[in-house]
Amino acid sequence: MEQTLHFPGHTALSVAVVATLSILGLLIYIWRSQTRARILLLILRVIAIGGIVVAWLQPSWRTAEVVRQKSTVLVLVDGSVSMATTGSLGLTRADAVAEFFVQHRSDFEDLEGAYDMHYFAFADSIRTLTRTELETPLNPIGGKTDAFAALEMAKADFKHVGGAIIITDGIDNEQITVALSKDIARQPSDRRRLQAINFPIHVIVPSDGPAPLDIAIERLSKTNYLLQRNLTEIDAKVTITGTPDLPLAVKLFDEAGLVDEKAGYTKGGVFETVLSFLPKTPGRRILRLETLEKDGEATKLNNKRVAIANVIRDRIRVGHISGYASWDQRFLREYLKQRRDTELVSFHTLRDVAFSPLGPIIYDDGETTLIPFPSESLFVSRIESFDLMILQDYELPATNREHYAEGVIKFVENGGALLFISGDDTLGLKHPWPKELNQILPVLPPKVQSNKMLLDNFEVSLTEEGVRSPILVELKENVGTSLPPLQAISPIGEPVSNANVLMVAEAGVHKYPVLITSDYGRGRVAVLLTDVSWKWSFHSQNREAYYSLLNGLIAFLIRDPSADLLQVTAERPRITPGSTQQLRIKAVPGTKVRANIRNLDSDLIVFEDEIQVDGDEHIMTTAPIKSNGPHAVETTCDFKGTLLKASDVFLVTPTDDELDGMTSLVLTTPSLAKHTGGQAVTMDEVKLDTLALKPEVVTTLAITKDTPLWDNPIVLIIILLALIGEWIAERKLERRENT
Amino acid sequence: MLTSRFLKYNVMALTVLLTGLSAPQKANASEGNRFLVMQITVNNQQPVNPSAGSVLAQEVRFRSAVLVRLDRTVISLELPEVLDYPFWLWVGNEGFSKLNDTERKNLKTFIQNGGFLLIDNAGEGFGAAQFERAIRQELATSFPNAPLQQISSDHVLFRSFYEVSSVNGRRAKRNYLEGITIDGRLAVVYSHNDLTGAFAKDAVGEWQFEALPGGPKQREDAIKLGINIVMYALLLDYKDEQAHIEMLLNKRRINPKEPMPNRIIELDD
Repeated sequence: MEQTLHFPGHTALSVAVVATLSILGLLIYIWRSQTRARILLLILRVIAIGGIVVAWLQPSWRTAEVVRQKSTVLVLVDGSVSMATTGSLGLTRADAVAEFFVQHRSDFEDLEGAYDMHYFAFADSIRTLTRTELETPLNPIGGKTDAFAALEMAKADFKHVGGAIIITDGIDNEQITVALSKDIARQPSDRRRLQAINFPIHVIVPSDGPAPLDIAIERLSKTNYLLQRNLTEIDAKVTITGTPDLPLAVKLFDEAGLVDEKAGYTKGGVFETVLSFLPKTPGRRILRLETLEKDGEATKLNNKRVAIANVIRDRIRVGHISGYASWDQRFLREYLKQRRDTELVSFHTLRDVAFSPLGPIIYDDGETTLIPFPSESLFVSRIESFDLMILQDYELPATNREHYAEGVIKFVENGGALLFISGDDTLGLKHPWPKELNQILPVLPPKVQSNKMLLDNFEVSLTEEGVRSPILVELKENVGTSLPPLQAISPIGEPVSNANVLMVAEAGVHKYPVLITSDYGRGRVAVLLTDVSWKWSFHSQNREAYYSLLNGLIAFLIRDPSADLLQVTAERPRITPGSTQQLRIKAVPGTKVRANIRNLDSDLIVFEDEIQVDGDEHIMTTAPIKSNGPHAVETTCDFKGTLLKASDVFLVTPTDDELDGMTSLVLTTPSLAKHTGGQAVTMDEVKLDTLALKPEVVTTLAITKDTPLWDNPIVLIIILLALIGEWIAERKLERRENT
Repeated sequence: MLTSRFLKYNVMALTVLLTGLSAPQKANASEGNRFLVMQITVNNQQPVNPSAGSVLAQEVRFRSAVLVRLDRTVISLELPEVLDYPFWLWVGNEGFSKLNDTERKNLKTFIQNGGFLLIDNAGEGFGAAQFERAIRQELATSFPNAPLQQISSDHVLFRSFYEVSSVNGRRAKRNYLEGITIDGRLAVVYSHNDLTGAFAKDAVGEWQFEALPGGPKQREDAIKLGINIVMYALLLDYKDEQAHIEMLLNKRRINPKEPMPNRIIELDD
């Protein structure tokens, strides 16, 4: 409770004016008057006038309930990754900040006496801390620096903010601060945000700059959309400071390992080169550029850069190779040509050493239009340009067969797709079993080698696996599970352990596999064990079966996501440390999907959860992910006894702007001080007690009592007596002066 | 050289014919992927040049990598089994009545399904003219939107295996072929020159007819044309692509040493 003198009727200004006039008048009169009588008259007049003035001012004693509130001062400490940069004196910026709080402990205590102090660490979000915690270096892992947004978040909970102190390396990446630092025209939204700041912002930066030695890679560019199986070139630029020109190497990695490397010598502190990358599978890829590290660098975080590359499919490039021209080849070719999304490159052996009881037939090559078969290009040097290779009743050339087989195996291992269609000439019927391809074939040779295909009118049906398989969904929908017959099947041994038999042909009690698929490395293989499937296309009532089978098979082989029953996408390909991620999961309604996120560098699982999928799609939000680097999302679900899997990748990394600015000498955050009336000063120079901060805020909560002083009868009596006395004194004085 | 080659062919042909051929039989479904010439008959007519189909198949086998069936297969256009094989040979040397509904339906279904029909006018004089009139009428009725037209000399058919510059058969009446194209595919080829007469052999394996006026050279040209027709039926426009094969093989840049390709990226609507 407090009591104050209160003048409800008039302001202090009017009181001052009246008092001043009165005193002036008195002084003039005294100067003119010589006698005591005049002085007495003057005093009476002053009392009378004073009484009238008092009555006019209506003074009262006011008793009120008030609250005196300290202004809030927000202290924000930069926790972004750039604070890990080592300064020229050997301490990191984070260390320097901790030392600053220790050295200015008593100053902060004084401030806490006068203000309501709140401490925060900030990067791309804020968290509350105590001053004691700030005396220990923060772990600077924040992915970006946005001091202004952090300040807005911090001040949101407080009504009366008297000022802000931002302790930072001064390198802010966000648009508003950068624009302020350059004094360039700000967007209307930025101007509104700035107007909402009605207190001074003081910016304190470390006194020393970054250590002189640094080797930095510029950010990766041109990785947004890459075409599958088209060579991509990545520009790499390395800048060195604080050291003479030196030799170095730049390496490019994807998830599988090193893809390219270039070495050279810096010139004028710069080394520029181009690295190549052939993306072989569609979807997201993680690319990483690295260069050498040296002890004593300001930071080693910018010696590597990572980026997400989105590899999209070009037209499906299919290599269709057949051992001879045939109806099976002809109808498959027609199917492939009618697909608008397919680019077809065909090679068919049109002539071989003709069988003859009298020996080989000699041809005059000038008569024919035949060209040499480009085995080296097709199976080795150009094979990586294909998405899918179809070998239709085709045996690799006898000369150098192992070399060509190695090319095909490597192609599949690296993500290529292989469809092997059997016939009279393959799988041991005409020549020995192709053991050079054993690594990738999902079938083993038969126990007893035959030289003929199995001939009968086979009933064809889907196996249990085939019924569940996404490959045959379209076939099942359009045709059902009982399919048109086939008249010839290749005899084989057992399927290999990881193979899936999707279709079988039955004749009597015997069942023979017809369609088998498997994974090998990053690629896929399918074997179709008949050469008469073309009849399904030739008979129009069965054409749907033929096309549906091939549609599903090709989608599976080239990893078209539409062929997968379970799909997962990380909504944001790149997040900063500590952010959450959203996973978009598509699965069969009613299934339970398990998801985990694994850090690919440490191989640790950083998040796990499971959901029941009700609709077609579900969004799962993760906990904040603190670990840095590439992360894989892996989902699994049981669907009718089959384990489905889907995966995606994303990056947890500071922003490129943050990494670019780690050793920058151009400070942007001090511009916030300039535009809000604050100070921008170094840690060595700052005097905390001189920082301008708004004073306490006094708030009157309630007026409990107002006791007027002026309407007391004594005041009236004094005024009357003074007026009467003045009148009497004036009369007497007049008489005296007249006599 | 030509003579020794022909001698060699004839010996081989005799060997294979004696060991492989049998009486005309129904199509054997167990060798479904092998090339077979199915000769069709209409109006219960007798087949003309019935050995030509198997001789053509055998020449294909000797000269290329195609696996063939040497069965001499003749079948009525009315029977449902006629739709089992995609290569028909229709040889006529006289007029015929309009096809009945079943025959016409089979013909249309065959072509729509992707089948290939080689028509050969083996007639002479009045017989040839009658067949010509009947066949043109029938094709116009069955395929009213796809008229019979001269096949251009730069059509891929003339380069599908051999470089063929002359069009003849046992005779050399007209130096062109005619054909019907359906959905960009040559589905019917019509020869005026008794092409099958150049292949036909008698029971002991001798050429049945002389090729006039060019003799053995003309016959060899006719055989090459026949092989090209078969190769076209099996490969369609494959040989057109082969002309650009270097460009196709190197279209995608996968090696830094390769030059940047000129690409026009087509965007789907």
